[in-house]
Amino acid sequence: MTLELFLQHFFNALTLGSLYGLIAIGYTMVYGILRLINFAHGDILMLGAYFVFYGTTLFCLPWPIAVVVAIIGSAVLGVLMDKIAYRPLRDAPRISALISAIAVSFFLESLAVVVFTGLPRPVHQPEWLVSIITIGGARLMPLTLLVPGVTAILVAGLLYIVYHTKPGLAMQAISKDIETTRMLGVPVDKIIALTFAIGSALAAASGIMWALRYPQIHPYMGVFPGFKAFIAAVFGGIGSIQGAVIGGLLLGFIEIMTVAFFPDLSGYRDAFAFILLVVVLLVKPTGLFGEKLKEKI
Amino acid sequence: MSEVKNTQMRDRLLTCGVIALLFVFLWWACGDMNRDLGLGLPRAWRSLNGYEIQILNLVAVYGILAISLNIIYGFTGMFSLGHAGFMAIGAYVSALCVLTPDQKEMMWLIEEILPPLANLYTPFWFSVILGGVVATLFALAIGIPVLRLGGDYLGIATLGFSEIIRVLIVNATSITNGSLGIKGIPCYTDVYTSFIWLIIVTFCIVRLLNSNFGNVLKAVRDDEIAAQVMGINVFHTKLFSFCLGAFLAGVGGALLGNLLTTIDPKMFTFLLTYNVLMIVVAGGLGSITGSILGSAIITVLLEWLRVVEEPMDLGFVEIPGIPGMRMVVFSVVLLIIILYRREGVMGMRKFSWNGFFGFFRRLGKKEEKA
Amino acid sequence: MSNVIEVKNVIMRFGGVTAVDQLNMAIPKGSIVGLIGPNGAGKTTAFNVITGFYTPTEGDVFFNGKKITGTPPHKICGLGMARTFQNIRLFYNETALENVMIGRHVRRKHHWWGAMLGFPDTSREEKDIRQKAEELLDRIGLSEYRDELASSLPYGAQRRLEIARALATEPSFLLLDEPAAGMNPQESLELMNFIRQIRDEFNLTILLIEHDMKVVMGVCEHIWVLEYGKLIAEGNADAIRSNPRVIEAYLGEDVNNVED
Repeated sequence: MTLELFLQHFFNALTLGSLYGLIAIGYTMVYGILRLINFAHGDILMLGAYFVFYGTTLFCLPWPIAVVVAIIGSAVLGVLMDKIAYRPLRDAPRISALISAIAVSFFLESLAVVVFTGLPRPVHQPEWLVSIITIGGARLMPLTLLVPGVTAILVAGLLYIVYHTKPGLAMQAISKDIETTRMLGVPVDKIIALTFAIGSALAAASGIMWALRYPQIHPYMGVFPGFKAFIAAVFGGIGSIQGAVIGGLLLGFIEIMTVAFFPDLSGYRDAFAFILLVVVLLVKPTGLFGEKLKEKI
Repeated sequence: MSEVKNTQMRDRLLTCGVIALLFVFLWWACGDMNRDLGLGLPRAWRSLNGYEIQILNLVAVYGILAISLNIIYGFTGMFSLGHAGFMAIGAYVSALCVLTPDQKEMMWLIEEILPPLANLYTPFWFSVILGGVVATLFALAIGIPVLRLGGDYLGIATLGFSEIIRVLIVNATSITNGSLGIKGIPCYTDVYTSFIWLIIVTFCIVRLLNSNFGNVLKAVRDDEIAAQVMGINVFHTKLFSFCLGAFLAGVGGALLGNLLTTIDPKMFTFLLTYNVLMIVVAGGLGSITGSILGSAIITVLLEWLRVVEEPMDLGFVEIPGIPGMRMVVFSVVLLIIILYRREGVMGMRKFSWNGFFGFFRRLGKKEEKA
Repeated sequence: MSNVIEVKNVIMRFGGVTAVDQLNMAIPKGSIVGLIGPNGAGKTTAFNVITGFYTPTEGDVFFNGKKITGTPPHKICGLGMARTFQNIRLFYNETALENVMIGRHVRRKHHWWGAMLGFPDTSREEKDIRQKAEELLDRIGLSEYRDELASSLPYGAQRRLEIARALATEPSFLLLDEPAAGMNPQESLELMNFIRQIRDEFNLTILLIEHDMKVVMGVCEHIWVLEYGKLIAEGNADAIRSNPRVIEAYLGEDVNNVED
């Protein structure tokens, strides 16, 4: 393999990994607080992409405005989802919340099929994002640099919110002990809603970039990225934001590089994440940065 | 004591009676009664048509699948989304067993079939059980790493598994014939076969769940820590329940494959899992009776709801059909049930003849009052 | 071997916090003994170490002379140890009878397929489990609640059902975590008799954690006192009552006036 080719693979992996990382953050934050796998998270990603697609084509909005509208719309949707489907089940058996989550996911997917039709739609990529540039011998699209860049900015912002603002500290407190935090007078439900809003906004952002990078959208496009991002979150250590990002990046590299070095395996690419999950659970179940969660006896 | 014996005897007789009635109904439904007895029944008494019989078959197969998922969900409190995957395994294993070597040679166009499989030819019942066994082996492979940690990630792991099984089926052309699928599977599943399987499965599972093993499963569902203190190996119990569910899913998948005579990887998407999930939740988590009732109700409703997707002509105005609307309706129903009536139709109750008569007695009293 | 349980130099740390520090206990067979201490002293942690929920950071636990450090709870139960919980943990969706039957599971010999296919041996065992569970409910005085859901039982009955369920596993050593919590003086008195009664009837050794000094002093032959994870005193009721360190630890609670 030439250096040039390797660099191309490297940037592809970086892009894919950043996207996984961004999606994984939403999973890890919600799981960290509610111990709930939000199955509908991947579908928010899909809706975010559709919002931008329809915003730019149907309503002729300029790209930046369409993106902002899509992200805000997805955040609102995330909050609504929590309010309608998850909050009433906080004290119910855990399995009810999980069924509710899968029902929401099912609903969003089938609604998307009805509204947007089940056919995949091509996405128009703006010219300046895909015109090839040459850096140090590697031929790249600016997009493959843009995605990791945007991800880095978003993650930095999020880390600031979580570690340096009051709502962020409240989030950390809730993930340690929800009942005690409630007794201390923290508006727990509001903080959880905020968590859903942030997670959904990040999912929408990654959905938009996903649609630009792999220029096609369809109602089930969120399923596999969602599944893999969750594995990335487990790999990094569930509950840890840094872990989610690093897990996402590593998963991106594993997928791209394995196929790059062993082209025969390309048909099985989607199975790598699953094997990774099994290995992580067997070898280091707390992930790279996770803490052990123990039930109180 | 003799009173207890008498009740037991009565219940057994009643159960046998109901099963006999069911088979008389099936005998009539598929038109055999007409033929066997040479009855010239009037048109109004005609037997069910092929489409309706297919629905009957589906009710039985979905009944088995719903029971299998209910063991995992309702009785052990675990969340699995891998049913489509286990069904796919069952269907493919069974199909590979019952196809004749000649058929296999003709069908595998892209790549030659793997030699040991080419000459595999087994009886139908064996192929169904083998389908279940292979599904169980896969369940072990997933269950051991995931359940060892308490099983929080079981939902996502099985969802991934069932999607990846399809990737494997598409790619392992020499075994599965890839995306072309397998056609011309001999149709062994007639109404008798499917209902006999349903009855056997129900009988075995009800026996198991009524024994103390059923209580142990529920103990793990309700409080894992207390269960450990009672000397219950929580990991083993969960793994057992998960594998039992997977086995029956494999059996159900094998029956389904033989029923439809054609299988391909596209059939086994997670929509199939959702269907079964819907039946279990609607029927009642933790109620086998509910699962069987649910499978009858939901399967018929699913067919009936096809109306929504077809264009409707009301004489003066024509409403265009909305493809995919069925699934929207179903997901909303699922959400409403889980939010407002978590216990489904049956709750955790199980059917008993005493309860059955008691229900009618109470109903009678209510009417008297009114 | 006359000691049922020996705890040797057990240290239990969680992160930077030492919940139990250098605990040593030896519990003679057939005795009723107590573990007391102010809130957060590490009593329940000690229970969790003994019953296998926590593996101690250092030190070992011996049960009938056999080292059980690191053995999972369900295996320890199989060896003959049972416990109750501070906040009652019944199987609330099950009837009282089913709760006790679940306790019998650990002693069963036949496998699940027998139950599924209705083998005669398994059916006989099934009947035996049910019968033994019914007997036990009778002996504990809960037969009136036989078919009631555990969640619908009155509080006192729930406490007793939890003990009945523990007894169903045929233990030789029973740990009770605050059995008198939420009981009035009359009920506490009955509880003391009840504890002695089950010790004699079931040949048990009993270790209890209790805040109700009257119960502890009244029923325990030997008492250990924990404070901040450290053992500060041990001895019989009189020795504990007059121990200055114990009095200091319980400042505000009048250890001397518990007889009245």
